[in-house]
Amino acid sequence: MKLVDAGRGLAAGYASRMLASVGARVTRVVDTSMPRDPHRDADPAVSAYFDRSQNRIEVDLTTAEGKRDLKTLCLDADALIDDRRPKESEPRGLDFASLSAVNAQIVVTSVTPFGTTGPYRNYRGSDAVVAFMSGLGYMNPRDMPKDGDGSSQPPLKLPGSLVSIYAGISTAGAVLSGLRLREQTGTGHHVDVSMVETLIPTMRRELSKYFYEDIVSSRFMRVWKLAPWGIKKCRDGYVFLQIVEEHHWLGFVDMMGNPEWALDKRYLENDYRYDNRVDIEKRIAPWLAAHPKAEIAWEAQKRSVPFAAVNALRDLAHMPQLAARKFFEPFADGVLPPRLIPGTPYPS
Amino acid sequence: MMPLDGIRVLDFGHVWAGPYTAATLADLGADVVKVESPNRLDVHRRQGPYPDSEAGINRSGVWNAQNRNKKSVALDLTDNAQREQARELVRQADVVIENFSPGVMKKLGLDYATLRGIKPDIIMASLSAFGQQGPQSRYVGYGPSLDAWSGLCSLNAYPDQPPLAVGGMFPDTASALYAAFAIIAALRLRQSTGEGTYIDLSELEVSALLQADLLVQFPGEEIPQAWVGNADPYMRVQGTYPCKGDDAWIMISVEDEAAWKGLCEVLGGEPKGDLEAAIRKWTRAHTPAQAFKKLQAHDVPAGAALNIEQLLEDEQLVSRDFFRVVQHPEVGQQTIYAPIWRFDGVAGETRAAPLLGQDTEAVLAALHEVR
Repeated sequence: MKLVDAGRGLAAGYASRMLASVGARVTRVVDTSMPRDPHRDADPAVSAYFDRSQNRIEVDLTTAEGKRDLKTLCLDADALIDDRRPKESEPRGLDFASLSAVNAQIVVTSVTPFGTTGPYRNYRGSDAVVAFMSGLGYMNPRDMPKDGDGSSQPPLKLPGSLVSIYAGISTAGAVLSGLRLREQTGTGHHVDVSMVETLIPTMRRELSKYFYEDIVSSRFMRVWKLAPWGIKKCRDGYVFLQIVEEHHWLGFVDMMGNPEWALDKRYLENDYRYDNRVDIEKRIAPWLAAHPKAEIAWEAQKRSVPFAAVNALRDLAHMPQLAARKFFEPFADGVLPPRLIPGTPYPS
Repeated sequence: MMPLDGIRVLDFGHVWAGPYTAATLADLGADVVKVESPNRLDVHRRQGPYPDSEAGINRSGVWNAQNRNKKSVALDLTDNAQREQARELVRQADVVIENFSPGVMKKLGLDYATLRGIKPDIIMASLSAFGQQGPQSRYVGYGPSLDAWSGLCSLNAYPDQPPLAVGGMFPDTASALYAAFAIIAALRLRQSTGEGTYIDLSELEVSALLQADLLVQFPGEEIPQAWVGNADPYMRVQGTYPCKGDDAWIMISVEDEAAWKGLCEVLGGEPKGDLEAAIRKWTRAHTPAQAFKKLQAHDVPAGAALNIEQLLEDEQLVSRDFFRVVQHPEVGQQTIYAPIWRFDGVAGETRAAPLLGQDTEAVLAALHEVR
């Protein structure tokens, strides 16, 4: 598979990286007529990661020469990824009509904030903007106790570059699907990926709550009426507590050394625990404060209780599971200091 | 004509990740058969919200949303004869998807080694919290706890405040999209080699990859506060600003000179002094919808914090027919979202989710005909 990555941002970059992992030969086209994307191009380690296995050409796609170079590259390409708005793609010859005139077999996949049709097709969006326009920003963070009128607790965008990388995962699947469709129809296709639309299926529960219970979910609502539940402070950081079933509660009580108050049989019922959650949280706080997150998570998991350590990213390098699966792989390009970088989420 | 026309998928999935993988393939035209044990139902079949608050195994809004375009075959996998029927279905399938805890499929005699013996070129995807092997593979985890394990919560915070739970169900949905990609790639590989593939996908690893740019930028290091919450150090301006109305907000991201110029135009000139105060003064005089339109008209990336009600009325999604109504045999009209990938000139059919076991007879009868 020969792929042209004409995208500027992380979504196109991550899609290209995924496609390279299954054998695509990727050429990245850097268009000098537009500003570089800061997330993909400002840091050399990020550039190296997202452009791995790629050839690279720099062209000005607003010039006749640049357009000619693009056409030459696309003559025998199977697929091209673009992330510009239509009003930027069309004058540069990156739209499907222009490219299919050069190569009728090419599959062109657009990944844009709002999609390439509709009234917002030429609107701009960052990760944060897409998160807000998808409805997810309004609901993030989850389970937030409201402080006064909530004016000091605005909606949060999603963590880091999650939106772009998530859209990249979606785009990689879209490209392969477009290639399969080409096999069926014998001709090239345009595949339109809207970053906003890609996010919306993550809100199935909240959509159902609105359709069937008339509830407009927000970050100030509890999603699950379970207790104890959520992120709690411990000795060296935070842990995520999740008591879903009766045996989870029994396991947690055992971890705490079976304190007398917790042996009250009424606590076996989630409804009772939920109604008394504030009291329970006060009672468990001293025990949590005396134990580190790794120990709490380990002792919980030994008892099949689904607690988690709230890790920082730097903690991932020390997770035995990730080491055993060789998730991180060594990277050395002779320019950057050697480092470990994340690989694929399945053994290859 | 659809990309996966003629591809047969068996979906042993439950809850989120497995069913969404299979639903993604069903949206692409694959013939997806969901194998359900009537005496061990998917937890989502037993959870609301339900239409008219009337509970029922065919009425769950969440289940029906993520199992559209599928068939349902009811088989008790703990019964020898019915398990054999499941294996017969594998013989006719191209892809098997499951997201049980590691070891369950082996106990059922439906693990990859066994299925490969039945169908040598079968493609099987197992999605689990931590992966099938390794010292923590038996750890118990759900989507929200993987947000914690993977570091996502640590970036989700107000400035200098504790980590917070993340909205969405990204460990599950991102894993599903990753698995769908891997399955389609395996189908391509099978065309050229004739070989099947086993995909042992770890949701923890997918969740970590959602932060790949930070992992490579700060290997083994603390992530600077400049990346936490709504901040973005690569933006000239980025923040959430209060608008006219109750809990009304707009996100503004100024990445480049064009956006900066647009913002200054909107504000009536380049602000002297406190830029944040000048932006807040302007946004407070506008509703999120007004601010969104005015800023975008000046090429400033901006987005209103839409709630679900506003999302359903959003003119872009309406113009793209993103929310659609299908007729469900028990629930009646049900609103569902469109497939997330749109192919020019191809309009896939969107069918309501199946009733429990509604296709058992027809699917098993077809199996006997093939025999």
